[in-house]
Amino acid sequence: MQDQLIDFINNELLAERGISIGPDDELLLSGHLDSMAIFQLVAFIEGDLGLAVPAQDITVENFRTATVISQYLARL
Amino acid sequence: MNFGLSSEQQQLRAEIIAFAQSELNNRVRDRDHASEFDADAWRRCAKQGLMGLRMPQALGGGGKDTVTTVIALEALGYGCRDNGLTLAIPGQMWSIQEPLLAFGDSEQKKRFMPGLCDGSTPGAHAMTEPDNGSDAFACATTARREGDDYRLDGHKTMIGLAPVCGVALVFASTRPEHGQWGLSAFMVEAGTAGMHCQPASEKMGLRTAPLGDIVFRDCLVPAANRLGPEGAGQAIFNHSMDWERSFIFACHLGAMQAQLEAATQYASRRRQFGHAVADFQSVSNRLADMRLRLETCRLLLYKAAWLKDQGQAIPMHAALTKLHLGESLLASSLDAMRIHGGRGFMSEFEVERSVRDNAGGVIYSGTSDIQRQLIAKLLPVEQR
Ligand SMILES: Cc1cc2nc3c(=O)[nH]c(=O)nc-3n(C[C@H](O)[C@H](O)[C@H](O)COP(=O)(O)OP(=O)(O)OC[C@H]3O[C@@H](n4cnc5c(N)ncnc54)[C@H](O)[C@@H]3O)c2cc1C
Repeated sequence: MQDQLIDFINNELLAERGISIGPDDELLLSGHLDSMAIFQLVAFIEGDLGLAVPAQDITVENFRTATVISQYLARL
Repeated sequence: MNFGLSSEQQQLRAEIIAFAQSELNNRVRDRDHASEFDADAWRRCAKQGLMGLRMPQALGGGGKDTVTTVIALEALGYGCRDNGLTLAIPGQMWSIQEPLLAFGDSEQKKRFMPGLCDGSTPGAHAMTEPDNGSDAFACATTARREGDDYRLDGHKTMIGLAPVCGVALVFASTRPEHGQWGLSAFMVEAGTAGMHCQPASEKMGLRTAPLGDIVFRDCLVPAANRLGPEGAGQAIFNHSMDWERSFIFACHLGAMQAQLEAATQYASRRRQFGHAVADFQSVSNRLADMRLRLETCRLLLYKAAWLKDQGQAIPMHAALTKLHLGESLLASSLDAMRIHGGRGFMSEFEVERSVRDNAGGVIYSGTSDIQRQLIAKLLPVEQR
């Protein structure tokens, strides 16, 4: 799941800006992903991975890095 | 697909139009001149069940679905000429009650929802600040944790209902070093020490809806009043905008219908050069444009309501609806003014007021520029 997340982030959200992230790179606090990008990421998680993300879980604690996101999704 | 209204919905619509026409149009022009809010009308609307329409019955609401709620609000806007009131009511419903329902714990819902539904504690949604409007997440108001409380400091501006609110949903940064991801939301009760609500100076339109500033200085708010977890402020704001942008103009749709009927009648009655002015194509084209806008607005609005009843987040549709209704309202108000000629400019006929009132619709809840940006940014998501 972590690889799918990294692929989506790099190919769909960051490719145009020529940025590529690894599993433990900061996504939110680095400014790589803004609120619209997170919306796209959540749409991917819900649509392609089939997991429902409650809106109140969209926080730094759960979405800081790709590793943190996959750990959070595993708890759902 | 069924575009018809059920018999209960037709009945609700008829009841609300009759209620609004008989109880809400008291001294509207005088109150507009005096910038006066009709607190009695607010309470009467609450008693009629309008604020609580979509809220669960156990919390003092009517338990209706979104489509029925929109039908009721459209009826309210058709019958009520107080455009300030018909902005303030949906403002509270969509931007305070909905996030409270979605993010509040059961204790918070029990504490705050009944007063919002019964009109006793009008609710304000406080995000905008003197230096942060469109860039809402650059919020500078802070909330620092101190034991069982948060200490709020900051300044909110242009906040609907601020001067009369009983409670405000306030966005503040609990972790400034996290920027937009450090925001949290709080239900702050009016009268809390350190919270100061002030009316705004005179405004162009919507004068019957009070707007104002809320200043927080060393304002201690119990941690039990925080909505959702720390850092969920952005998600809560986005959630409330999904509702607000979709339905803030539900009443205005009814007002557009009434405006079109009045303009059509006037254009048939008013004679120049031996003809009704409606016979001149310049005038009839405007009526046709107004009718088309009414139709496209209605379709967008009711599709949004249907989508919400499927339990979806609809940021694209919300932005489309906000943009199109906001721009259409202003365009149709200007058309109505032109159709009425000089009378459209005179306060006596109340046509000029709709222009002043509806000019705000391209600004609040995110300007039309911001809606266009959101739509463009969401296109790739939609096309994946
Ligand atoms: C009647 C009324 C009621 C309101 N009620 C509330 C309320 O209840 N609660 C609340 O929190 N706020 C409320 N507001 C505030 C409202 O949300 C803001 O006025 C609005 O978001 C715009 O912010 P601003 O006024 O600071 O304008 P600015 O953000 O300074 O914008 C100035 C101009 O720049 C444009 N602009 C800014 N950024 C961009 C960009 N990135 N791309 C393109 N153009 C851009 C804008 O479209 C605008 O034309 C209300 C405002 C009004 C008029």
